[in-house]
Amino acid sequence: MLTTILPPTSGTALVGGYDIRRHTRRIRELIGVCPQELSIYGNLTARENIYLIAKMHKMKKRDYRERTDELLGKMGLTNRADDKVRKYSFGMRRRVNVLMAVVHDPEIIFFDEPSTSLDPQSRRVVWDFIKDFQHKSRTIILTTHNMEEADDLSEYVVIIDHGRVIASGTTEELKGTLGAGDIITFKIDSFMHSQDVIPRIKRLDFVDNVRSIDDKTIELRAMDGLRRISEIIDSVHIKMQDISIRTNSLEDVFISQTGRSLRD
Amino acid sequence: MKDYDQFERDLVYQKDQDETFIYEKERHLSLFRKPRIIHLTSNHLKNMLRDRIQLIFIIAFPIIIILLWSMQAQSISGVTYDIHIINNDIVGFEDDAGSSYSANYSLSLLFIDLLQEEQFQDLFSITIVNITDYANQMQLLNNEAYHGLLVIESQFTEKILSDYTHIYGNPEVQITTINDPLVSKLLTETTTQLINSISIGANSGKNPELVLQDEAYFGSLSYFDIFLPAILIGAILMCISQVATHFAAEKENGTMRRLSTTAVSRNQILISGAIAQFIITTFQITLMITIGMFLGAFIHPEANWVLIYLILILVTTSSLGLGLLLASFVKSYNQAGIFVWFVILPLQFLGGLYTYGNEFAYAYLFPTYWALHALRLVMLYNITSWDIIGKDILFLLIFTIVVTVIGVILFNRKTAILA
Repeated sequence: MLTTILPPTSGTALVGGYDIRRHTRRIRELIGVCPQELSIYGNLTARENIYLIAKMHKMKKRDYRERTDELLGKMGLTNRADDKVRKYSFGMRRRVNVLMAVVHDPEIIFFDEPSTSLDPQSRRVVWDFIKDFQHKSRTIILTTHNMEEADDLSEYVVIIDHGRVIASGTTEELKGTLGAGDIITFKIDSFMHSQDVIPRIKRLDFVDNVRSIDDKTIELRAMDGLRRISEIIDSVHIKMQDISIRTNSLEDVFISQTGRSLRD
Repeated sequence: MKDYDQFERDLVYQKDQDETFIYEKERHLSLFRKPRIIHLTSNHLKNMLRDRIQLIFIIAFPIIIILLWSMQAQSISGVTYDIHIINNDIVGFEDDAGSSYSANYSLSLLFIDLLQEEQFQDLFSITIVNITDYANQMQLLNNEAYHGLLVIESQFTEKILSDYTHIYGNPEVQITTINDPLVSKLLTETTTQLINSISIGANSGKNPELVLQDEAYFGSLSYFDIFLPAILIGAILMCISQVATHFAAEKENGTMRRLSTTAVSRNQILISGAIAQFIITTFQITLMITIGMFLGAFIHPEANWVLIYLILILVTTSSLGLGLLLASFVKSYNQAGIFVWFVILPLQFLGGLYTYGNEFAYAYLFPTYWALHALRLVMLYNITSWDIIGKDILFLLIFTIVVTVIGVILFNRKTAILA
């Protein structure tokens, strides 16, 4: 709806101060959209695909040519810019998909899962590219299921579940809602079960939210966990393995807000 | 909350003013820039022509279809039809003013002479038979011993020369042929045209001298000549498939949605796609006509090409509308490829494209029937009279407008995108 593709069934919204019902045309000039699917003409070259969007935004020829060269360079596509896109790898196509959204230097950019199914190298390139736009004071609205992506790229996060906003805030604010401290996960290397060990750990005053992940795995939250891990080991009196210590992640926030059951 | 609402109202009002200003500014600027629709059309054309399979189809399809029809027609063209004539119009008579005419002035003899002229020699072999031999001739015809029997009525000349047609009626020639629509059609049309020509000459006040009208060409029409208009229309119908699959693919792969988030309007996207397909189809038609003529297909030497292309363009446009209509309902490229045949096949076969002279009883319900009728008359006989082909073109035009408008509305509605 915000990208003016779908009309709202009721109510309205403002994008860049413009009403999505009344100022569709103006909004479309302000925004750039990178859809989740690869919306590219396979028989055109990367350069032609990008030019097409620039022409639709009535850019001057010299401007869009210079801009396209610059963008292709940033995405590492200069050498293949004049090859037909259908000959590209998936990662390269996705990069072209991103470039088509930004060629006209829009004020507001919508990215719908821009790094889905990308290899780690391509993902990094795309993420750096998006961060570059943040530095240019552009507004970026990114939709993703990848919490690492949201954590890395976002300043403000909104979690939507079944069409309703269930949490919002900066990444730090959201993580803070889960409580302070580090999250420690470990496995018990003995005949004992996690349920037998949990009461011993709960006696420690700096430990919180102790829970069993499975029969042999325990997760807990501890203030200053890295330094005090030895105290936890002592309290358990059994051998532990696969110990990991991490801070709160957006994934923790997401799981805590939406639950562990499968989503549609 | 109240303050915020007021702020929002003020903001929207201000943006309304901006919108008006920007629209006016762009309206002036756009006069000096290439319209988006041209960029989009060129993009669609590039995308289609660079697909090797599609390119082969675009060029090979018209060539193959015209070659196949030509080869098929070779076995049929060049046939000379044996025609027997019983002439009852051989007695003298008096005209309305009381002057006597002898049998020498019988216009039926001139009619028979004309049928035996050089230009019809390849088509008809004429034999005059005795008037008392009718029953025997019918028996022979039933046994297909010859192709057709013409029986000229006794008052043939009298009726032509009379100024009182409303009393005497029109001159009559009874035509009976073997069960072959081609010979039936050829004999009927040739006889009708010749009698009309004789009537015009005779009623001019001069001696009944027969001069064929310039625009009436009576060459030997082959199977290939007669079916060329049908082949052209049949080929154009394939663009229903092209358009439906094109827009279904655009919907499926999201390119249409992407373009819809730019400042280009939905109608510009639709029109550009249609123009691209239109250009390709026009190229295909021209290629088919050129190859057809190269292979010896007959098109009247003075045929009105503007009218020929007008009819073909109407068929193309209505096909584009039908393609759009189909694309509204299908969800994928594959679905479009299947469902399109439920439209193309009835139009081809029930519309009478391939059934010359023996059409389906309700063929007139199909636009192809009207298109073919008009195109055949213009291409083969150079008939341009609005009285004869006007109804065909009008029906075709109405169908084209209705289908295209419904197609655009439905496509926009089904894809639910803001204007």
